[in-house]
Amino acid sequence: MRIFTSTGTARPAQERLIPSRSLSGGSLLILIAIMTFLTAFAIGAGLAVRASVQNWASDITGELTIQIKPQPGRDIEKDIEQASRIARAAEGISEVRTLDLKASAALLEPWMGAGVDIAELPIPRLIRLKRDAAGRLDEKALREALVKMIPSASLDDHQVWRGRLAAFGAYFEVSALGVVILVALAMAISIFFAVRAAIYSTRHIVDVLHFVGASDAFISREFERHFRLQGLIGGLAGAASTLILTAVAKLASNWTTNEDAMQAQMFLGSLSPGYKEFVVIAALAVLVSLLCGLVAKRAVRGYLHSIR
Amino acid sequence: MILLSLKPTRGIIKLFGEPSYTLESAKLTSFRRRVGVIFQDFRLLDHLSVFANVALPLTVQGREEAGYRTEVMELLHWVGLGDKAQALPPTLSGGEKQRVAIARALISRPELLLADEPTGNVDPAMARRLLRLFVELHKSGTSVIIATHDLSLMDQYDHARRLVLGEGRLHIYE
Repeated sequence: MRIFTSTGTARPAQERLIPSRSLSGGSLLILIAIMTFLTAFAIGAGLAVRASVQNWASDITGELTIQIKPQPGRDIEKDIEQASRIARAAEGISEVRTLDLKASAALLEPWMGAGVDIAELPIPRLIRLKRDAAGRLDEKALREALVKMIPSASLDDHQVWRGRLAAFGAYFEVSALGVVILVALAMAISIFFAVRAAIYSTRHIVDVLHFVGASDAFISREFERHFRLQGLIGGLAGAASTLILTAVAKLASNWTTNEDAMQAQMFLGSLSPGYKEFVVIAALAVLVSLLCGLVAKRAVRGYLHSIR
Repeated sequence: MILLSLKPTRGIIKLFGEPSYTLESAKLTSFRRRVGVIFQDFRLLDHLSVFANVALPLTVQGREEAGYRTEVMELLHWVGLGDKAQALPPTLSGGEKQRVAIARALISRPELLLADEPTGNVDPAMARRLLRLFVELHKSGTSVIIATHDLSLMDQYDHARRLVLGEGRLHIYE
């Protein structure tokens, strides 16, 4: 194997001007891998939180509920049937689902216990509506049509809940972004100092190259290339660890039937990386590599300036 | 100061006819390539073979190995290290390291050779051989500056100019 330097010359791989395992080479790689892993994980978790918030928001904004209260002198089953017909006839509704007595009882079971005959109770009945993707629904017209025919009906577009959820989601998104920024900053700072320390441990090589007639550009290029490669190896190792861990977590969550785990997955979304996450994490490894190269270049230039 | 690693606090040092402290980075590099240095502590790169250490001044100029391989091997044979070309410096004795350092300083045929105690770690026979090499280099146009504490070494070559540092002054004996 031969390496081609940026000046186009070739030399055997074993004759690298900078040893691939310098004094701090191993620990530098481990540090880069760990910091990239943490940052990639923070980014992945941040993206998952964002996706979940958007899912909740689109789920709830896509739904409407018709509520029909029982009234003396009216047949609630006929009212439900009529409300369903009005809803189906409305433009912009893709699905109408009436919650029958059994479904309503299931909804109330946590509060009222099992085995209660809710047909005997004056409990409002619900019809779930789904907007179609085109969003052509005229809510006002639907509400008026419902109330005209069934005075005890009301249409809930979840406005209050939506507002609360939006605020909650924004809080989550900002928190996730803050965590990503802090972890990325910690990564950049630790890599900066680790690369500088690694350069410091190999400054005798800079001295020798300088005194045997290497130009500043040649020396800094060699170090930049070396540390860029170290950054790429460490960065890819960290990024790959993140992808492997999330894949394992995904598999584990598929196998488990534990209710808490399922709820956690519903709450946070699945952490399985998609195409976008994969690109972001791969780009992170490249960024880490460029950062290492840049820090090395600047550190070497600074050192050369100091010995001139 | 001649190596351009220290700046004079007073006065001017002229190198190859130009004041050294006004030189720009690119010119400094080209000047360094005209100077060969033998450090007292050798300053070899331990992870590179003897061959690569000696070839280093040519490698950093971007020259192809095929173009200097014979030249480097000839010089290694001359300093008695032909069979150690692939050895790493930590496996060499002090004298061998010194000869590698000397070969590295000479490989680019410098116009000026700075040698700091170049015979300090070699046996008397090798020391005489190296000195003969320095004299030959001088005859072929290379200026040689040797820093040494070995007065007997200086006595062997009485036609060399002696510069003696003493009491904060440089005494020149022609």
